[in-house]
Parts: sequence; structure tokens; C-alpha cells
Amino acid sequence: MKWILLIVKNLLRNKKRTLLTMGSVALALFIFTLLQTVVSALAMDVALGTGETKLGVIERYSGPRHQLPEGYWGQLQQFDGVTSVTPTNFAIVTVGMESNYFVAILVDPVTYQQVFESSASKIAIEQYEDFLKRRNGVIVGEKIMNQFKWKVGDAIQLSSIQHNIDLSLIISGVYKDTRESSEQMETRMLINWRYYDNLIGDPGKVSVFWLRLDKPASVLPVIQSVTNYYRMGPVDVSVETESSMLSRLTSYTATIQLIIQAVSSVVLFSMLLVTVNTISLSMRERRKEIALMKAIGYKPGHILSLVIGEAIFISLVAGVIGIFFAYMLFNLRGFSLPLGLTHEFVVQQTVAITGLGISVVLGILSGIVPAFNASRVNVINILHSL
Amino acid sequence: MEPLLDIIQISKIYLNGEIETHVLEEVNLKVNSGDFITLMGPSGSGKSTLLNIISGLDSPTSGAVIMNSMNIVGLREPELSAWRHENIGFIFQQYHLIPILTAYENVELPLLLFDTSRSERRILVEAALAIVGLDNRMTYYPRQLSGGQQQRVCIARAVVTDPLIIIADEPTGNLDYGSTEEVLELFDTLNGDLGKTIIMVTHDPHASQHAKTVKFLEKGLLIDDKQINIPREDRVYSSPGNFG
Repeated sequence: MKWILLIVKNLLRNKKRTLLTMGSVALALFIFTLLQTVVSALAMDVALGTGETKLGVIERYSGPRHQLPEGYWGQLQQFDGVTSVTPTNFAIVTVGMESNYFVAILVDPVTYQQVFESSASKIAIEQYEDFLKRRNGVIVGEKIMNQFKWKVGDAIQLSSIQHNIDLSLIISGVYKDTRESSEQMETRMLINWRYYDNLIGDPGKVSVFWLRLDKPASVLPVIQSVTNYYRMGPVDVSVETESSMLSRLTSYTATIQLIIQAVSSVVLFSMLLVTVNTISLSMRERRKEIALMKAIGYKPGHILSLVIGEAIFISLVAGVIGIFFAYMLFNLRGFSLPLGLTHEFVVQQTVAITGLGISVVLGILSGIVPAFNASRVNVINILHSL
Repeated sequence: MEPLLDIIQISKIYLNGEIETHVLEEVNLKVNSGDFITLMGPSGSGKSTLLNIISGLDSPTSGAVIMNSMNIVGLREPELSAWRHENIGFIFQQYHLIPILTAYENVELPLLLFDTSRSERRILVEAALAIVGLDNRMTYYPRQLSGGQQQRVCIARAVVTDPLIIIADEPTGNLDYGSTEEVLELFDTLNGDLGKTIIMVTHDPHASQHAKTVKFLEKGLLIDDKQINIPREDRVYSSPGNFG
């Protein structure tokens, strides 16, 4: 504690310089947190992959935007090892203003609960039964419910961006989950695929057929048999495990992540140079004081610790400020980046902790050279006399 | 009686290319506990170099500096720092107070290195500031104090750790007559009443009169070592030349 006072007094010696340096570092950590939050959100889909008893079937060459005929549904159920099949489409829907957009997963309620029983179990039984019965029912993520203060049974109006249609829906139930990985589902909706399909002009197309298998050992045989079966068909298919599928669906994010990481590194390195310069300048101005401290008994290690302590103090306080503002922006204001992406941007605990860790490392790295130089100050040369 | 500080055959040679400059030549000096020694001599005579070596800020080319049976010559920097902290109190001509710290905090600075509680530090700092008569200026910053007051804070900082030796380098060099007298009276108190050992470098013959012993350095040689007995008006200087 006694050293903290000394450190703080030194930092307040030139308030403007300290504030500007802290502001720069805070901005860098804010940008870092922002970028890492985007990376984290992009990676979330892959992380959500579960066991290997589910397979996704998509059109082989063009990816998920190109669709399969609905007729494959019945055919896929005939393969050995397949216990159930459910079709899945995606829609971007808006509530009122266009900035309030969400991902709607278009599902067949009956088979969805058979293939995705874990997700379906997060919905109250009576609510899911309503979803099964009501053609225009919708299951809404809890976060959306809270955001719009909706209740189960409310009638809501949504608009689909892709198909330019209006949806009149009744809220059947709420998707609620306490797991961290459930963030996405709580910001999404489940809509009856058949209801939606009948409203659009080009029905009968499916983005992904999800297959539930009887056991993990069936994965390879089913992939081989389904792939071979459709090789000569009207639409060739690609069959992948759930995790592989999700990785493929988000493979474009790898490049984005790489770019983001590179930008983060450059920002942090720039801040490192700025902080090194500031601390060095401060040390040069205080050479007489450092010489005095060494004369009265401060060891080089004391000087080293005090200077590095100052650097850590600056970067840690600035880091807390930067991360706090990013948290406020994303977590409290529900800020969303207009990238056309479907991801939920929330500052994860791991990102915040990493940011704080980087602040400390930034402080150490920026302080170490000026600290070493300060600890080597020649007392006689500096103080002249004595 | 074993001297508090025994300086044995100290020589200091600076090398500038191939040119050797002999700053000190086999200087011997014994300092007993309770001594008040003034080092005088013309500029370049080696006074400051001798003071640097005595205080462990510089190392001699040859010779030994013995204190409490330990030769400090050859100690590594961290060991010398610890030795200085425990044994030496410094008083500078330029005061060298830290401008962002109050008088209290400046005096507290060397105590931070001890494992003492805040309340213990407070007792010691207040006592040190009371000795120099500035216990009513504890919260003042150096810029709010006169030159004489700043030097008194510097003296309080030097005595707060209760060092064995106080080393003062031209302590009155920047002070007016009134402040000089105050500081010299303080030195008399520290030495006479509190028994502190003081080694002072000065150009001022008047200041030197407060010391019990006056040593003269000329061209690196200690040319006189005469014990001056009280009363001061009866002291005899063997080299009363121009000390600049």
C-alpha cells in the first residue's frame, strides 16, 4: 500500500500526459475487447457442436444457401441407422424497425424434438405441445422475450428480410437456458417450417436435413450410403457430422478471425510503443529523483519495481476502463454490428479476463526497458555534487 | 578505541584515454563516533570524491573503507544500497527533495524501505521534523517552503533512519546568512546534543568553525589532521589559505 501512494503521486505529476496515455491504452483495450468479442461470437457456432450422432445433409457444391428438394426427407428416413430426419431452414426476421433483426430457425416441430431433443427439452412441455399444435406458433428466446416484454400467448408481427413476407405468429413458448453456450438460442426463434414455406413463392426447399442416428458407429456407414445414393441424383449432397458441418458453415470466419487477430495485435503493439515512450520520457525527467532515491538506499530492484509498477498501474486501470466500456456497449446496450451476421455479440468473461491479462503484460513490457535504464542511473553523475 | 569509520590508504585515479588523473592519493582518515569533521579544500582537491567513497557511492582505485569491521570497498550495488540505507544520512547542497511529495512524505521516503508500520513511520517522521522545527509544515510541498526550510526537511530526511554518519555536501551553499545560521545551529544540536557523527564538505570557513575537526585536502592529499579543541575561537588552522 505504501508503494501505491508513491506510484499514484508519480502518475499525477503530469496529469495530462497520464490521462492521454491511459486514454490510448483504454482505447486499445476497448478495440481489442470489441474485436475479440466478434471473434468469440463467430466461433460460438462451432463450439455449440455436440455429440456425433447427428449428421447434416446439404447440397454438395454450393453450400447451405443452395437447397435440397423436400422430397429427400422421406428418402433419408429409409437409410439404415437413421432414426429420424428433420428439415431446417433459416430466416432473418425483423421486429418493427429493421435494426431489430433476429435469426429464425424454421423447423418441423414433430421431428425437431426427435433430432434435437436436448434443445427441445429447454422448452416447457405444455408450451412445446402448443407449438406442435399451432401452425403459426413460435418459440422465442428468453432474451428476445425480455427485450420486447412479450408474454406467452401474445400475437406478434414479424417480417422476413429474404422473402419480404409478413408473419403473424402466436408465442407458444420460451426457450430458456442457463448455459453460457446457450446465448445464441436465447436470441433466436423457432418457427414452423411448414407455415413459413407456404407463405413464400418457392416452397419445398430445405437448407439442411438433420439426421439422428441410432449410435455413433452408424456415422460412417450412413455418410457413405447417403453420399453414394445421391451421387447420380438430381442434387448431389454432402453429409457431415454436426460439428464438421458447423465448422464448415462458419469456415469463412477463420479468415475474418485471422484478420481480426492481426488488427488486435497491431493495435496492442502500437500502444506498447506509445506507453514505452511515455514511461521513458517520465523517467528521463525524474533522473535526479531516482538518483536521490538510490543515494538514500533504494536498490536497483526497488527502482525497477516502482517503474514497472507505474506502467502496470497505467495499463491496468486503462484496461479496466476500456473493457468496461466495451461491456457497457455490448452487454448493457445490446449493441449489434451491422455486418449482416447472425451472431450475438456479448463480452464473454474469458475475453474480459484475457483483456486484463494483456493489460498487465502490456504494463510489464512497456515498463521494463525504462525501468532497467532508471535502475542503472549513475548517482554521482546525476547529482553532480556528492 | 576502534574508530567508527576507518579510511585506509584510499587512492582514486580517473583514466581519460591514456591520461591518468590522481584525484586522491593514499588518504587516511579515522572518524570516531560523535565526531563533527569538516572537509575543506579548493575545487578539484578531491573533497567530493572522498565523500562519495566514504558514502559508498563511488569506489576507490585502492584502499579500504572500514565501518563496523566491514570493508565496503568491493560490495555489489544492492549491498551498498542497503549499507547506505542503514548507516548514512545525506544532506545535499541542492536539497534534492521530491517536488510531488509533502515535507512529511519526503522525510518518510527512506523509511518505506524498512518493514515498519504506518503508525511507526508517523512517530519517526514527526520526531525528525520536530528536531528541525518543521512539525508545523508537514503537509507543505517543497515549492511552498523557503530554501532554509527545504534544507531542514533534507536534514530531517537524513536523520529519520538514525544513521551512524551524516554526510553533508555544502549544506549551506545555497542559503542566505539567516538560513545558514539556522542550519549550522541544527548541526550543532545534532552533533552536540544528539551525538550524531557528521562529515561535512564546505567552502565556507564560517561553517567549518562549527566542526570539531577540520581536514584540508589539496591535490588529493590530506595535508592536515589537527584536532580542534573547544572553544572554537581558539582553533588553529594549519592551512588557512584560499579555499575559494
